[in-house]
Amino acid sequence: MASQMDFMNDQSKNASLIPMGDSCWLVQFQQEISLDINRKVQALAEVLERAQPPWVREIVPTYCSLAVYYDPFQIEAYEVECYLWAEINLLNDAMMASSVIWEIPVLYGGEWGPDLVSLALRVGLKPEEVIAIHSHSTYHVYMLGFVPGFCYLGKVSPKIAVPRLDNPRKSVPAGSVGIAGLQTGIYPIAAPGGWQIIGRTPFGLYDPKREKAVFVKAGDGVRFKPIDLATYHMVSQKVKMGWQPTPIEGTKSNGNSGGHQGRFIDYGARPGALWTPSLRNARSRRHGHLFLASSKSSGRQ
Amino acid sequence: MQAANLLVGNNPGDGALEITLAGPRLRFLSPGVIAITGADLSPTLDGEPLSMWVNCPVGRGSILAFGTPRSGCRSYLAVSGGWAVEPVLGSRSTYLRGQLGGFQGRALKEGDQLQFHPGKRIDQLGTRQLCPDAIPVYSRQVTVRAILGPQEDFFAKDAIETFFSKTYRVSALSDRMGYRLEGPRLNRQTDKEMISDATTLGAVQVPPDGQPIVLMADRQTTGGYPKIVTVITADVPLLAQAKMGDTVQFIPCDIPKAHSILRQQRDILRNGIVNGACHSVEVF
Repeated sequence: MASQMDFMNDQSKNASLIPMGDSCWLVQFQQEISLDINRKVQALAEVLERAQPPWVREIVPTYCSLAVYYDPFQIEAYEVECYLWAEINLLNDAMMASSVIWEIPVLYGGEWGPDLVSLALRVGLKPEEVIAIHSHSTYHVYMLGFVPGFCYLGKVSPKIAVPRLDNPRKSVPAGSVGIAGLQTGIYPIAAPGGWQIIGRTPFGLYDPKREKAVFVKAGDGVRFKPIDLATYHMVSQKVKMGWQPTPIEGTKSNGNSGGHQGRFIDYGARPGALWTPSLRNARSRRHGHLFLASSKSSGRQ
Repeated sequence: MQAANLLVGNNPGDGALEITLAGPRLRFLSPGVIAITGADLSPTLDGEPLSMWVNCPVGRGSILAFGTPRSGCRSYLAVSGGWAVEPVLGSRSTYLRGQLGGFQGRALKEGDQLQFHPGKRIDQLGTRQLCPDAIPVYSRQVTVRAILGPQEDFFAKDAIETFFSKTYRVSALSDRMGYRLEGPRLNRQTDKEMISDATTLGAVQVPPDGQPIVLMADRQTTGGYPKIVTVITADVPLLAQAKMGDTVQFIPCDIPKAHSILRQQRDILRNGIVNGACHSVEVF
């Protein structure tokens, strides 16, 4: 009993509920960018997604907060508050958000990655080494935001972490893969932006005509796979014809290398393959932990 | 927008054309029943002034035009049966930046033909109007109520006092994404950077220059600037009718009060629409 109370106190101590206007509660966990805290955010988001209370309009998970938008015509603010506190206090590892791993093909450098060479110079590496490091890790999707489908991925190896450009570009092409500090991300649509662009993916990360406009969700894992121009065009063509990516299954990450040891997506084999929803099984959760281990061992901090 | 739809017998959430300051000229290629609410942009039907907040039949070939803005910024035009636009991600709204929703994800331009679903005739609907005392008044000095937070602790105490006691002016750099305001600088009490989190409709974010920005309907979903207050849901439409140069005054509010105002607003919409003329006399 005592230990249960300790757990509750522990959760309560590390969270606070703040109203954001009259239709939203902001659940704030410790305000820092860390995998453990982000996983709490994802876990709470998962709980609400599973329960689907009718008064929830929308939930927005971010690095260390979860915004819960409610319908004030259906429920009182204090009732939402009580509900959220109960769920926060009951959070445990078993509820951790299930996740899948996506492999995103990227054509690095050239006109597709205009900042690759200058970035390599700045950090004292060859462009190929930057590519190797960037495509070596499996990244955690901390949050989606900014524009539809923009995912904030982390953490990037400090060896290639560079700040944003001094002067943001007026327009960064859709599919651009960039680095900003310890974050990496993909521009789903053309948008102004200051991230340093090292490559471009032919994947349509955002397509409003698709059943799921955005397929990557917060809490998922993302890897980058270097491809050549021919593959870029081929995948690009397939995407135009309605091909949708599926998450990779059976990925393995052995902690010390973090390299690609699993199956790659077979681009040729699944024309028109249906997008499969997240794999809510123990295996993918386990991979979540494995990837946690691998990102810890990649020499960060 | 909801009132416009109710006046023509639609669901309140059906699509309506939002017309900002400079209105279009529209020719009806088939008859229908329309209603215009929101800003008064001097609408005319076939050259004759058209009453707002009341439904009105239009014939085939009728021309609807707009003139000088008299009050407010955005007018709403609903047509009985509803505009034939497919919802995208659950909404008929246009998101210009994402080129999404509404009519091909963009603003209308000359030559476009916009369809509407067959609706009710005026003899089926009867004349419907919103009671005059339920019609909002759009002033050039807007007062809105706001709830403190969620990041008020980033600001110096005097910044919060300043924010609620002084008035701010709507800058030219204002649109459906955000209203940039100009006025006394809001100082922070901390240099610490905020970790990006979610934004909400009506949230007032303050970048390092100390000039507040109220986030509106087309806001970004997340942001990294601390939010000093959040405008209550019921008052956001009032602010959306403010135009460049108008002043905004913020008044503190709390959640229970905000909810009761919201319910009052709903009741006005529920009960304010009446058939025929309102029974009232004018004293002069």
